[in-house]
Amino acid sequence: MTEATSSPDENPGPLGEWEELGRGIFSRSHRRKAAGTGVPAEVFLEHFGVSRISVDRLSRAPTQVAIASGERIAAERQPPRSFYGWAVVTVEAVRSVGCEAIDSPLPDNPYHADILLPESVEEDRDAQGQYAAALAGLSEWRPRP
Amino acid sequence: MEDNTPRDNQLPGQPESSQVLADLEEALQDLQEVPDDAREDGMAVPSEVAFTNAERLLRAIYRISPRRYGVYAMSDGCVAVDARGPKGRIVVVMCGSDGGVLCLVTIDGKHRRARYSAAQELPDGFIREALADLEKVPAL
Repeated sequence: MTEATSSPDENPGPLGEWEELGRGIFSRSHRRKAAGTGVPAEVFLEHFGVSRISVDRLSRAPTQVAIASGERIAAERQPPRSFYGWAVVTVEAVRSVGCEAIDSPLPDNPYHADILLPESVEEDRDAQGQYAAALAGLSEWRPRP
Repeated sequence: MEDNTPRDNQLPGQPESSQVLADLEEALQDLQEVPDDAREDGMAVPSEVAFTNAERLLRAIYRISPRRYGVYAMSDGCVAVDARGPKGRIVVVMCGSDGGVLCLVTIDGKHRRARYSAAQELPDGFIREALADLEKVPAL
């Protein structure tokens, strides 16, 4: 992982092409598959009609902040889950398959970003699956430190 | 020293048959774990027909392209069987609980897909071509 240089409360600014984006993995089976045969497409599949995929900017976020973000999301799940690590994909890779990536800082996470799927997926579940598979193919498993 | 000479029944570049069988057995073992994984993750457990189709297709595509396939549950009750190539290339065959099949292909940033209402005639030319394209060297 590229070492972050900004402090936790600093606005990290627009995304760079080579930035790494991390999609949290909260499932034991997804962790097992990601470490073995590759990140499952399910990791990047949102609910039907949802065209934004939430990620963290791992190249910018201090490690402890990124871990805290993953743990917070895991704790908020119903039932609560464990946070195992990330499926990591670069901004350039996201764009290479027809998606977009934007910074979308949150009050409690300035390093939040979204992968945007084309609007066509909002009414097309198969297309949503297509992009999920493409992003999974380009991503790499990274366990939490 | 390791002997990498292809056996009589082995094509150059293909894994040895013992490795092929190990890969197939591991993928079939992953398939057996799909229902428990789905339950643990709070997802719909794939139907019997999804499971049966996935097993048959897994064995069939193995004969076309022997490799270690990924096998896992999807949230909408599908069983996914995926194959990876270099540079993020991916082919995913999703066997649905209604008996339908969806094949998703992304090769060098280009997407294509096919949906089938039944699995009996699969793998067809679309799936065979997708598997072949995984390893194809891009034209200059």
